[in-house]
Amino acid sequence: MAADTSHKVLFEQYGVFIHANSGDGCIEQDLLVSGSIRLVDKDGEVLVEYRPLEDSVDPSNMLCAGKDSSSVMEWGQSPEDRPHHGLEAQHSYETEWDMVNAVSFKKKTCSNGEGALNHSHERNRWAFTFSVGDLSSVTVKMDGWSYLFFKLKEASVSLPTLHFHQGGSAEFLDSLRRCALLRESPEDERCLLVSTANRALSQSFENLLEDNNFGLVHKLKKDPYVTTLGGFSKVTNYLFDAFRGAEEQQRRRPPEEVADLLGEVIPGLEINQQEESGFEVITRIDLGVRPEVQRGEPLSTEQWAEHQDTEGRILNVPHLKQVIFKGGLCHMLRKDVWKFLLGYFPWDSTLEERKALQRAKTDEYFRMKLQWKSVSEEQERRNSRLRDCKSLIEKDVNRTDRTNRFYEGIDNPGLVLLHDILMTYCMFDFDLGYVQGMSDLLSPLLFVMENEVEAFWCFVSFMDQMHQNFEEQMQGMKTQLVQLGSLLRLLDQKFWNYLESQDSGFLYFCFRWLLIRFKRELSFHDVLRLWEVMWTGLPCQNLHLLVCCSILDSEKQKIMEENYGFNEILKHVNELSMKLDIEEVLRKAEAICLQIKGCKDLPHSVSDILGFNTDEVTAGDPWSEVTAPRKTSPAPSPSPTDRGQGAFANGHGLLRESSQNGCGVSFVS
Amino acid sequence: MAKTYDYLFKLLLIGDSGVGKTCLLFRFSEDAFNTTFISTIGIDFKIRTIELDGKKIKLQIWDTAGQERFRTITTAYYRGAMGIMLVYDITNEKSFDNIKNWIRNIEEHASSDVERMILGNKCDMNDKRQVSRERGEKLAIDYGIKFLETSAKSSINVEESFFTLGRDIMTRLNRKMNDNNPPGGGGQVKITESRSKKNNFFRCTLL
Repeated sequence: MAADTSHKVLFEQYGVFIHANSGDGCIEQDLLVSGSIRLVDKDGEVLVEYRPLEDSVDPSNMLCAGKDSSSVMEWGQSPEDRPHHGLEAQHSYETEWDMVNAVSFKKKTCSNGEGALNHSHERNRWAFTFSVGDLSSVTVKMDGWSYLFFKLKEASVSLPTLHFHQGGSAEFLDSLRRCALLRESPEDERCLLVSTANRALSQSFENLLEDNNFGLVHKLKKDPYVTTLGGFSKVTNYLFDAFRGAEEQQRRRPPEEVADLLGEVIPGLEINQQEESGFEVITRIDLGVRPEVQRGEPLSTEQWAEHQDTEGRILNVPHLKQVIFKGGLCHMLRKDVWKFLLGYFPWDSTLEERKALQRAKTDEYFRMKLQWKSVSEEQERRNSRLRDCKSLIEKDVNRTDRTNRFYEGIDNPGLVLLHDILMTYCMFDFDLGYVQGMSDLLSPLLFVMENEVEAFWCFVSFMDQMHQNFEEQMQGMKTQLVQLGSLLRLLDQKFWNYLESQDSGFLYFCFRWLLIRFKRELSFHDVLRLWEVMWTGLPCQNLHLLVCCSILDSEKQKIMEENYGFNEILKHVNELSMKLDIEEVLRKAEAICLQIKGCKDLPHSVSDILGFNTDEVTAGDPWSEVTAPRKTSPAPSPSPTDRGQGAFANGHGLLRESSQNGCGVSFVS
Repeated sequence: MAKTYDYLFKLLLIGDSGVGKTCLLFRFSEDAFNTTFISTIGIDFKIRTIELDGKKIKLQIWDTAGQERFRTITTAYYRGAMGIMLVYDITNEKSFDNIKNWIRNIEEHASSDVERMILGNKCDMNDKRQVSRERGEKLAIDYGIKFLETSAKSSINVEESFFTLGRDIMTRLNRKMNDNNPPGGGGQVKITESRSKKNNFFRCTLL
């Protein structure tokens, strides 16, 4: 289609639905209108257009994929590289109940402009167009898919909510950001207040900053990249406007010039110049080359012996940890060394001190064990919490590692120990009780310790690290999934975009990995290796997140090439279980760590996740989390009010002062 | 590429931990019983294509973790389920009592017109039975839901259950299509209560 210079489609997305109440009366019924949303630049005015498809749902096509085998695709499997504005006929198959009546859409593309008038009244009822200049706010909500609610400045006009069943809402908002300033409403973070680009030009930097003041830190922590990219687009808008000057209503902008300028003040940025659409997108940070790393040999008994003084204190712990990180432990040493790695034994304790500790801990253990052992049947009948814990533990003990010789068979003592330790842990931490997955964490510890008391205390230490994962709200899981998202986005924006396009950006498929630290993904002995490596705390904190990145890095090609949808990604990831090579996974995880560490313009949020700069945070300053001075910018930190003078987003979740430009500009993203 | 099915139904197995959801699924999808049990962490699904009235139905059956704690993640999968199997263990009174809670969960998180079915599993273990068949039937009648006692181990009623649920979904679907496809009509399709009422902790972190 030849582009009309005065009528240019900036963005187009099909599979956008209106769920309209049909007002049928008796039963609440929904009318499902499928259509497309477009951003159109019409003589310099940017319009948002929604148009229903000509035949939103053709009943003759419904659920009859057999008639046309090519017409059925599973929901969410559409090729990633299919342009959002692809004009080819697009059929989709929704596997979900609420969409089952709309399995196959016959789409005839509406032509621009007046062509729509030929459509039936019923369809046109749902079409609407408004100027971005008239837009007051966009509210973004998620309900499996995203949906957007537009509010116009003219409050009397209400528009139907648009449901992006086939994704594309983020891309739509990105496109919208290029023509208008979107800022989060202070009252409701899901609500984006809209100012048009022209207005943005007249806005001072204070406004930009003000925008960033609202929940910036909070937002950054939650999703630094969305936040920062959004922030950056405002700056590019500003710069565009500044450069454009009198050249009004013309979307041709000087990309090279802007790129040069941005590149100059923000080194390391790659600016993707999209000539045709007339704006630039900051795509990613240059991470540099991923270094080659080698794994080492497991720590030997001789090496271990060399690291102890005559009284049994452990010497040169950093070196020891380094060796263990590189190669793990030979199996014979695990029973001893794990107690140190887990923090049950202090590294600087003497043999005598450890013996005393063990005596005290043994007493403590049996005191707690006696507590549940001495509960009578009658008491138990009146203690539902304890009863529930007991019942869950019994069920899980019976299905934990039963193929392992330590737990196989019917009357294996390993089973009794597993049970008793978990019950005692309930008494130790009654608030947490027993949560499924804990037996998976205990099993290798007991296997290695071959001792009830020591396994228990090692388990207590391990659970200290894992506690949040199992708590009522599973906050640990949520935090980790968000952190993992940040890392994946940094490492490969394209893959991240693919995951998001398949509704998989929440990374549910990593749930089991994170909850029980790959216990179900690796062979039993590989789990032992992975865990001891993780416990060294090297080469950075949260190594397990980089392990996730490492595994996904090896699978992303297949996932994208095979065009896996939400279901297939989950299936594929679940089926990686027992097929992973732990040394290869660890090698790549370390390489990724070094690669990220070597990056000069690392988002601060990522440094925080990996613990690269924990020593630089100034307590008490709400900005400190994102303003810790970096080696590359030795300029003194301006006070918060100084920041009002100028704010630039650098696109990477990073607040950073620049000494390179004399006018005291802060980089706010 | 030739398509291998005419319809795709998404089913969900829910019920207390250890009632045998995974075993039922394994029996149905692989026709086998694995005595090396393993608890379900997170979520998984299996596929089996069946034939009903000459139509090939691909059943995508989701298996969930039973423990209360995991509901934040498992309820995210309720949405979009067309059929839900509520499973209890006939040798475990508590799992039967909890069926009410699971039904409430469905009402909160699943589509209101989802097809449901109650299964009393482990019916091969009659000597350890705590819940009589009559009580199971009565509960099912109270809720207007179909009921079967099953045994994944002895392969009793497993095929029947999934076929029954599949058929019920098919019936509902046909009824809807007829309702919505009046002769000569060509308008839009009406969907009863198509929006779900789910909330999802994990999903509110973006934007």
